[in-house]
Amino acid sequence: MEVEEWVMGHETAQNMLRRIGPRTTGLAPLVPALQRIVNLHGRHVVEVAGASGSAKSEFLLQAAVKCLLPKQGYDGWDGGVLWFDLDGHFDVLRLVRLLQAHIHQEARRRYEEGNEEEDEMEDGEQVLETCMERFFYTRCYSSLEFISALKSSRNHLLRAQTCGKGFRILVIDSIAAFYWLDRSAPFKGGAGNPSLSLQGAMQAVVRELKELRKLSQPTGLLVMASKCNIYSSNFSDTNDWASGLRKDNRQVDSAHEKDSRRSGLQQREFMPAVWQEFITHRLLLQSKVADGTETLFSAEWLRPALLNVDEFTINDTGFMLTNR
Amino acid sequence: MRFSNECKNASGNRGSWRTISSHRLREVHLDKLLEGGLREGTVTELVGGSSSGKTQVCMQVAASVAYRCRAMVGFVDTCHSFSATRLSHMLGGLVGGRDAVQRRVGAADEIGDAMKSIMHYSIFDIFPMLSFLNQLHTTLSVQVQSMEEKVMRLLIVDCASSVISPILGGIPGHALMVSMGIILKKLALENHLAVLITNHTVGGEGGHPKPALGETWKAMPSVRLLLARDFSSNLCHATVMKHTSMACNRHAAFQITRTGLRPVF
Repeated sequence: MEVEEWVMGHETAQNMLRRIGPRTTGLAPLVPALQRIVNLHGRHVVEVAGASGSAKSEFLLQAAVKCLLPKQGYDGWDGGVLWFDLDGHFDVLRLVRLLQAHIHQEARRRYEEGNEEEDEMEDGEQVLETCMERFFYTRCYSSLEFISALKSSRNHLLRAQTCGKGFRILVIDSIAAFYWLDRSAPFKGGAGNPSLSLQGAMQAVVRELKELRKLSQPTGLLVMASKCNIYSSNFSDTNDWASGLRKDNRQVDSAHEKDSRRSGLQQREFMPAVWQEFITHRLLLQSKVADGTETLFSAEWLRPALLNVDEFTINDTGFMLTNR
Repeated sequence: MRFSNECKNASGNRGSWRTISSHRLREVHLDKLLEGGLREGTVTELVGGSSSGKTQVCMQVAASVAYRCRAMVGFVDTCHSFSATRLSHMLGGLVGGRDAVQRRVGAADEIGDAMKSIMHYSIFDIFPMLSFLNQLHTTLSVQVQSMEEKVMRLLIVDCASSVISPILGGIPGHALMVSMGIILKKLALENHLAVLITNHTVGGEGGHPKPALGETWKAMPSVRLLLARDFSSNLCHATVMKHTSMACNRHAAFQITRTGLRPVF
């Protein structure tokens, strides 16, 4: 009977979890050193903020490498990476070096366990080839180029999904790269009049990202963006015009100001509200004064607000914690 | 200066990232410091107070590339600090021989050829600078490469900060600064140039000098070198402040002599 069918439903919750679960939960952390509590999966949007030279691009690169590596032996996500370089700082040699470091580490571990050694070399080459095939890189020089690149990656995403290996991560290196250009564009205003001002550009970007995420069901698409500081953190040595700007700027969100004051730094939030509402996680990175040649970095999760600050250094196989 | 060529296409297809060749020339002090010299596709910034040797380093790099790599060099001079006589001394030092008598036959021609491949442009304002950079980008993009002609591999902007600081202040100034940064990066990445710019310093927190032009400009170059001059020993110290793929705070010292820069170990 129809009523009976309607009451019984299509599947139980347990069956549904069994169907979807392995693809969203049970994923290895992308950057294990910083993700002891925070677990990221396809429906999250992470913003990595920090001053220049505080290892933001390095964080994104490590996450991308972990996503490219296969599940077997490397504990990776075995998925594709879409990298949008708005900053021009991407270094393909560094990506290759990181992948090779992970592969060598795995090969050494397998050798120590007493497995055969002859297949290792070809195996490593094969793994490197498959990883590089899944990495897609686009460089944009303006907000308009970025939005059109996002639009044209829809087809790309669908094609990759039908081939089997879908995209798992979308990386935007420096979402604030065109901040000043967009702010200087004239704002025409009006709901039906889209303009290329900062608000309009960000709205279009968020719309495209949501669309891409909808197309990547059910695994979802993890969006990771880095954001460079536009204003210097110490307000005492900025000029007078900056304080004049502060009065005009109505984009400051009180929740984020509370976040930053708790971290002890005055990190002024300058991105428009539509972007601030889109992100689900915020990570703040800082570089400390180096003693000798080792630079020490610190990381603090602002959203979800964890109170402890991790300190780490960087080497080829990942971030190494120093305070544990 | 040593160059590394890297090719990657926008769709990241397999195979293109393997064709990385490096032209190894001579181990100059900056080559050791930067693990290979200036790379094509990157913007390197030299930061230093006044009279810390920035223009000397720029001219030495220009001479080295023009002579050793047989390539064209664009030298944009915004503060009248370029000197052709000094450049000829540096080229003389690279060619060899202490004076005209000891130099081998044909050395003068080599110096002349190298001087001819260094193009000097005097630009003192931001708008002519932007239009020049855009025009250079268009010219280099449509250029058909032939075997005999030299191709431009290095662009030097000596004192980028002197065209930017007068207009900095408020939103339009920052937008112009960011557009200059974007066109420099576009030249580096799409036309395969190595871009070298200089910047001066301003006082920062605790009395330590910091690069001028603010936080936004700090994120623009891929590599930043801090130059400091020690007048008592006439040495110039270079430290790596920022590098996208290398550890920072590496240090090298060199001496400014009559025939150019000499590394000091």
